[in-house]
Amino acid sequence: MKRSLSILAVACVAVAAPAWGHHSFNTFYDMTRTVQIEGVVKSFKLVSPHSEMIVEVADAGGKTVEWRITARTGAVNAKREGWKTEDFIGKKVKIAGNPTRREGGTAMAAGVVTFPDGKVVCLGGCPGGPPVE
Amino acid sequence: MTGPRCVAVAGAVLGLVLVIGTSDAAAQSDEEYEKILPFIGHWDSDVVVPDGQDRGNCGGRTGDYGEKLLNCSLPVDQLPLNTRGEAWLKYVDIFQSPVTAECAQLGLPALLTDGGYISASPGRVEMQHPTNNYVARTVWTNGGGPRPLTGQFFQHGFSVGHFDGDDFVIETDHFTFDPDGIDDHLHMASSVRKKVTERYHLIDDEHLRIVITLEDSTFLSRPFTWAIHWSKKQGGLPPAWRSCDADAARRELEFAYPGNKYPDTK
Repeated sequence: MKRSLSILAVACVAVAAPAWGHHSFNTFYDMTRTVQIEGVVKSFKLVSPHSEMIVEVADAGGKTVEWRITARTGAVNAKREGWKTEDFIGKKVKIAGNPTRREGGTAMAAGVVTFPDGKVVCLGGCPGGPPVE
Repeated sequence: MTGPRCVAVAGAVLGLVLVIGTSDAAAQSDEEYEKILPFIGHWDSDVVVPDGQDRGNCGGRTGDYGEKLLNCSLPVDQLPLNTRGEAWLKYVDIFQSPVTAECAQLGLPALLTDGGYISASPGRVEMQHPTNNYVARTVWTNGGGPRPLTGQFFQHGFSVGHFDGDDFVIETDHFTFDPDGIDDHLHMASSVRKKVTERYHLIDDEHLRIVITLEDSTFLSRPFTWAIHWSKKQGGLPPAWRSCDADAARRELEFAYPGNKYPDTK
């Protein structure tokens, strides 16, 4: 069943840093594609190996679907960047990242978070952003 | 000989033994220092592989959903798996992988892929992985350290090092059974019979060749030998907090991994 979500295809998120860790994003996510979602951040955990976020996204029919966002960097880098979970939770954001390879899955490795005021936060893998782990 | 004189003679003999023994120990320590000094430092494997690209060393093996496995730590196309080893690879799946799903540390030989920090003191050499949960190995030298009992096993085994000429040789055994023990990308296990021999040969002051021999008669038809290179880098171990949330690791597998070899299991 094709999901009707507010997904916009955008230009590829540039990935400048090599993957130092033993996790292979490419196994889980299609690194050749980028998708963008818009929704409200329900939760954000700063953990390793990768911080994880849940975003509630409304589909075309008004149904809420949970998207799971895996940050491309871990907790140590997240804290170095000054991320605070309270800055994200409850905010309506746009997130661009690489979608899961699981058919029909609502997950991505991200990427770039854009806030309503225009503020942009890189979750890893962006030029000048925190390193990929 | 009367009592006090006896005591005096005994004391003199004891003092002489202590002086000679201490001098001998100091000489051994100096010799040990001179031999290990060139190996001490920060070493890097110089392997940088952008995510999704392939070093081509997984022998074309595929994962649970047919995806090409990438960046194995040893040349898999030459790995002499026996029929039990091939059977393991046929039935293994990523959800049981301790490294992927349970935050387990890398084992030997995969640990060697990324370089390391080598330091030493009399009777021991310490080798620390640059990133993976701060894995640290102790290699006992000159007869130092404890000795494991029969049936006593450890994830990183028990390592004893010695010099063969100028080469530093480490022999490690007493490994636990490890589902990712031969390689964590291949998810090839190793048994308690695993033995890893590493020969560190200095090419020059800045370059090491490590010849690795892997033995495990449970899964391999013969010992397997290959070599890797490390280059010396500046700088020491960067201070960091390294942790891993096993629940987060497993959740990502459950919601983002496309394969599901055993749907009725977790």
